[in-house]
Amino acid sequence: MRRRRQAIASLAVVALMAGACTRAEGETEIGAAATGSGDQAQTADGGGAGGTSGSRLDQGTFGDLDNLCADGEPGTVTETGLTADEIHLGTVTDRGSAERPGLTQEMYDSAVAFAAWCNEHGGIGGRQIVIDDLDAKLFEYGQRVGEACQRDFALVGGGAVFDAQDNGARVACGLPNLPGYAVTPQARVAELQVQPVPNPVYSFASAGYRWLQGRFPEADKLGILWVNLDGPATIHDQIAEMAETLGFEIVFDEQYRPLGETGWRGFVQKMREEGVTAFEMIGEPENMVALQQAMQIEGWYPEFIHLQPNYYDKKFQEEGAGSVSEATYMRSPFPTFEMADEVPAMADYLELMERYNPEGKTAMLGMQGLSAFLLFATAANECGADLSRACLLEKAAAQDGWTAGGLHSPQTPGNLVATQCSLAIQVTAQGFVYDEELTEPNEGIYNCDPGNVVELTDDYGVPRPAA
Amino acid sequence: MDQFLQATITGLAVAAILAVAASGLVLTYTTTGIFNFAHGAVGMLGAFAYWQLRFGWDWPAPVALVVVLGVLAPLLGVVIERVVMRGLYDAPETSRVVVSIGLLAALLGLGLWMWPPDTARRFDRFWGDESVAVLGVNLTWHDVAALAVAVALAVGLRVLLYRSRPGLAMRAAVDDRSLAMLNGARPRRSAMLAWAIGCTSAAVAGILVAPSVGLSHVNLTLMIVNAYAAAMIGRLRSLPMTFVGALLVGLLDAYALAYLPTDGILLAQFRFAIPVILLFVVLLVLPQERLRGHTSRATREVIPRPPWLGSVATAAAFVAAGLVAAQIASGPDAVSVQKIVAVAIIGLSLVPLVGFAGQLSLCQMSFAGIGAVLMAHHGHGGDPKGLLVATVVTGLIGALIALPTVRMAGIYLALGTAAFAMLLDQWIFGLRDFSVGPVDISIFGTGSVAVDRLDVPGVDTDQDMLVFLSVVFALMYLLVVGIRRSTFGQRLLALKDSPAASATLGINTTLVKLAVFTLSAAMAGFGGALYGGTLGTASAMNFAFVQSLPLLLLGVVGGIGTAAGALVAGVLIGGLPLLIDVAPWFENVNRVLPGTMGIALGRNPNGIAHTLREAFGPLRRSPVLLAGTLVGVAAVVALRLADVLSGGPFALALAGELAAGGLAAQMIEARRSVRGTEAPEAGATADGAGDGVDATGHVGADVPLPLEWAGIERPFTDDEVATLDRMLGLERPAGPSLVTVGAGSTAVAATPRGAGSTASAATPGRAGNGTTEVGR
Amino acid sequence: MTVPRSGPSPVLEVRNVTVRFGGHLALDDVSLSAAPGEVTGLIGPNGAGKTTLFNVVTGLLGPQRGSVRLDGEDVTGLPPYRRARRGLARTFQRLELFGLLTVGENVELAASVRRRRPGRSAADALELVGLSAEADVRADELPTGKARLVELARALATGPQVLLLDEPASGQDDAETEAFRDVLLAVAGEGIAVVLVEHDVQLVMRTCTRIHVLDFGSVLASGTPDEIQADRAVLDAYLGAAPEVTA
Repeated sequence: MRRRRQAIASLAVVALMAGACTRAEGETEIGAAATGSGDQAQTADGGGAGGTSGSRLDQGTFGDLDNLCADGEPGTVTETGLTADEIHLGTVTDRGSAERPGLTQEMYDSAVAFAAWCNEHGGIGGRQIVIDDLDAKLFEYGQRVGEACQRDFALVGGGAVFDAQDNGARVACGLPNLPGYAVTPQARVAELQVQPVPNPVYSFASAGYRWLQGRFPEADKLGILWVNLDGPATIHDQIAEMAETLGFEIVFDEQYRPLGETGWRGFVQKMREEGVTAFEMIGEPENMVALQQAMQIEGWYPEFIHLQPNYYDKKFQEEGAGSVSEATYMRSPFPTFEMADEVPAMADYLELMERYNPEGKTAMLGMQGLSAFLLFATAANECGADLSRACLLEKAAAQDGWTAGGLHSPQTPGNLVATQCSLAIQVTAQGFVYDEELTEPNEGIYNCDPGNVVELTDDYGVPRPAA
Repeated sequence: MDQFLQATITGLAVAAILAVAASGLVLTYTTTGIFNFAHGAVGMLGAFAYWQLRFGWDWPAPVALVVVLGVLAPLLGVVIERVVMRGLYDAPETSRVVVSIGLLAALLGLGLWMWPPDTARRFDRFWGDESVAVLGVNLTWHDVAALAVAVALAVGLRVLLYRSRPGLAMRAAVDDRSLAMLNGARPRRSAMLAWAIGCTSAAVAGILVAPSVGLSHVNLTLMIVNAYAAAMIGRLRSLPMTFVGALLVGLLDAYALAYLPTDGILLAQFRFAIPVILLFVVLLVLPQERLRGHTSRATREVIPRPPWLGSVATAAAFVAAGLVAAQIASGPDAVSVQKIVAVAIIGLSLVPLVGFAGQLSLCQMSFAGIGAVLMAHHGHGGDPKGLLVATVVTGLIGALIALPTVRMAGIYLALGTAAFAMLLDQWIFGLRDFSVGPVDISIFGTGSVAVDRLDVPGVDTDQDMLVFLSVVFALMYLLVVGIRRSTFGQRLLALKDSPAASATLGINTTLVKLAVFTLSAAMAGFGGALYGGTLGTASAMNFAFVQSLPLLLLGVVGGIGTAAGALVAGVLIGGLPLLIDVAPWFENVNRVLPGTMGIALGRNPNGIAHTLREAFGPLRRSPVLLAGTLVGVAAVVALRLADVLSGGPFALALAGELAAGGLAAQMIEARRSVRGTEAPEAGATADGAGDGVDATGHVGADVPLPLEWAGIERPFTDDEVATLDRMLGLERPAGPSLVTVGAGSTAVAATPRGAGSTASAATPGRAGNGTTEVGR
Repeated sequence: MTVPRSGPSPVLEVRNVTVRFGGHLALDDVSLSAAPGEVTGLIGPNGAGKTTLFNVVTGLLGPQRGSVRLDGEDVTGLPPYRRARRGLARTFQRLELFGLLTVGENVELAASVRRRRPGRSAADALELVGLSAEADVRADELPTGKARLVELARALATGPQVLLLDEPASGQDDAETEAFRDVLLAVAGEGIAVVLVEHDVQLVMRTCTRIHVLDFGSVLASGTPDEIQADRAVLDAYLGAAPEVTA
């Protein structure tokens, strides 16, 4: 309990700092945000009927981002998608794909909720946000970009698995992108783009491995099991290089069938034979459950299992991950949903979804997409009457230490490097639990350390950013 | 040794499930002659149904099992038999395969509809993860149950087939349906029983495998491919050999996992391909099927021989349609339409292969994928050289694949091509850049490759490209017409009709098959290169095995004997999903629609196109009305171009105009026929317009009187009687049975004695599975 | 056991052919031959193995034992199409017309396969069987009798040395049978060896120079029509209680 209070306190500090850094006009009512956090978050968490009077959301405030959405005098600049009273924003997802229905639906759900909330409070400087639903269905990213070029001011809070499919058309038509996520190496380093949570190619967040190395000093034989589906090959290569840089020896590196395996135990047996002590799985949550069940049957576990943040998924939990997970951790820039009562912005996210899109899915990518919208709103407000595409990109990139109102760890949208700030989450029978001991937080709930990032030197097929 | 033991025991547990699945497949095939491609989908539905009862509604496991395996699965089997498969047993191989693939698509869509995929579903093993140690290796009770079920099934089927009356009837039906019928057996009942048992076995396998594979619709459905190899080792006949096959597949996979090195790019995913490689090898080793004679057809197939003049007019119409579409469509919409046309071009590759030659291919999109990859790597900046390389090299690869596969026929060829497609899917397409000696090979890289759009002088915008692709489609259409009209085309049709007769005329059927397979692969590679250009970036998923299924399915639905089938496939594959944007409720409909169409129309060899052609036949024969309709269409298009009509009303007006023209012509023609005058000139104007060939004109009678008036206005002619017989589905006496010549012959001929000539003298087409082997 | 014979030397020889389907002996050590310019008859009850023999000769079926010689050369190992190109043509008892093609196309296709070998043009072949008018009719629309004639025309268009006809007259009325017989004799007159399997025994007796009788897979008797009609064994086994041949 004491730890939690500490966390809240340190968060308030972070929020203060962030606010001080990012608010150009310094108009933030920090006190209101900080004091309000406790009670209101709890009412939202308790599932109370929406419309709690006095919640931050009711004031157009999200986390520590005060008065984000408010009526005002629209600017005079008009561009594609930017009229006197409307801003058209395109949100890309793959939710309509026949192959993987519902993929990244949560980003669209966030977009809808954000727009509804923001418009209710007057929009961005008096302009209403119109969400352009750009469903790339895996294979139609290029076309959606083509449509967006004609009618949208910017792409915000979305992403597509095959996001290189436009072959540069977005940049060619001058369409800015504040993506929820970027997947392919080409898209990660693209121009006219500001990622709220950068996903760089040549640097990788190594915090999880560094922490686990400390906790399990003997575990230096790494096994990687991954699936070559939708191109996570790059992430695999990055993890392999990062782990080797940190001194891990990769003794098992195999792929599992994209169509599913019948004999997961074979992998476990082989890992045992190879003397695997540390393990990372890159793939889909349900397969991880099956693999861990196999570990349980075999009675063998590595000393630790590390997972990427995409496993922070209710599906993983609900399909039984907790019951079979042992020493399973992930590094995340986001706190868990359960930390809503200590992280006001998390409470706000959950309340936002509950009130403005109750059918919508809450998930990590939803938060990341929301971060993009918050970044957009913040940058747009800073531009004020001079809002234009150029100004948007400039102000968004200028947000150093971006936390989306406290929703995630400080990021550097303007600088394409991996974040130094993360926290550790353990998968337990009780669900996803913040592991403070492993995190050793030094900035709020996060651990920020230059050693949390590893520079990569292999060739990933795209130009290395100029130093 | 310890590892070996472990691998063996885990492999056995997998083999047990495979054996259960494969034996159901074999039982259905032997009894009814239908290879159930939907077997995996049935298993998927079984697993989901069990999940719903057991975990969704928290029923006790035994109750849930009894309901799923004792009621739902057999019921599904009976429904499939009665609604889908009955009437298909004597149908040509193409129909049987297409309908069964349609069923696969429909059931998969149904599963996605009933159990939306983005929901978490926990599926625990029976008895949780409790296990028992066997020879020092932990075996879950779930695995023990799987083994027990496999053994019980083996014993049960043995008893059923050899000790029970229904089982004996089923075995009789395997040997000879018509003979079994003569002996008073009831093959329909046997078939129903076989489908019920088959579906139940699929459901058992689905429930057993779901905890490992996960409750994933597609994965559970395609899991069955591993059982194909097992079933094929049993030659689709022998259950004991099928069990041996399952053991082989299961153990091979376990040993490969344990011992096969995975270093290097080539080996990293090789294990995934082992079951399909095994399938391919088994298909090759299987004794060669004898050249078959001609196949009975419930519906008369029409593959018109279009005259050049009419074909050029049709090609011009395609280009005109492209021009109109380009005028209407915005940039991104134009890209959507481009994709439709590109898919249609790929679909054209099926026309000579499936439509003309009757050779089934389930790997057309794989060839297209090869074409797209080649275009990506050799057509930088849209270099036409890339298109050339894509066409030629894909053709060569097609020839290479054809060399071993030409000896396969019917279902074996379908499975062989499916194995090739899966080989690419599971192994080759996933390979990252590698080198073979001095040659650097790059496929989809780390997941996807950029494919540059073909650079054509004067083609700049997406609309221009759309027009260009329409021109390409029109030219490819003319190529297909040319093939149809050539001697080569005649040989293809001859091959489809009767390989035996073709061979005895001196046609080298192997060479013809090789040629058409190569040609078709080259066409698909060509289309794939263009399709890749419309995608911008191609990934292996665009060209997966499962993408080839709708192409064949909808191609046949459209009418694969003509270019129309390809066009229908393109429009349905590329166009239906567009409707979802307009009407979201359509999403679920779209999931089951192609499959349902396959089930409903897959058995009609002529497809929708032929029906439409028939409907518009009268219009084409009436110059005045035709001109009027064309003027009307032009007016509607002009209104659209002048922005008077928006997209929706435009489409409606266009459809209305065409329908009105067609109906009016039909009515006028009907009235003329009643009067029985002026009819003769109809045939004269038949050619030249549209596709131009009215191949159904029942030539032979002097006056082309509509059939329904024959016998009333004048006596029936022989030809009319024959035509009526055919239409009514009566068997025509091709043999000597109805004609009395010479002593003693009649009686003997009607009831064949001795096996030597059973097939040839029995009612034609009823022996065997609709295909009579010459020479039994 | 080759039957000694006189007359022109045979162009087709079947030597000691045995075919077994599982436990059933379909052909048991069958030997026979056909000479150019002659019509050779092959009769026997259903199931005697006539069609099986044709399948062995054309290569659709491989014999367990024995050989097929065409023009003095052993062709037993050759695939059907290569035998066809050496001048072997046949018709089928169970019609094997290409139903998707027109009558004309059926015959043209056969003529096109012939390549350089001499033979009738497609038009001539159709003319000969009297079906020129039906050239544009789809083959599967013809009644059986005419369809059999198309098969004959198609076989002729390949320019055969040896022509195997499997019950070509069934489905034809008396007049048609007569016309057919004329065609047959004309064809034989051109030096083609014709082998005729037919249930119309009278037609066989009237048309053939030599006759082989098959029963239960083996050759019961061989000889001239007169010899066959006088053969006690044939009468017993084949014609049974009806020694009179009726029309």
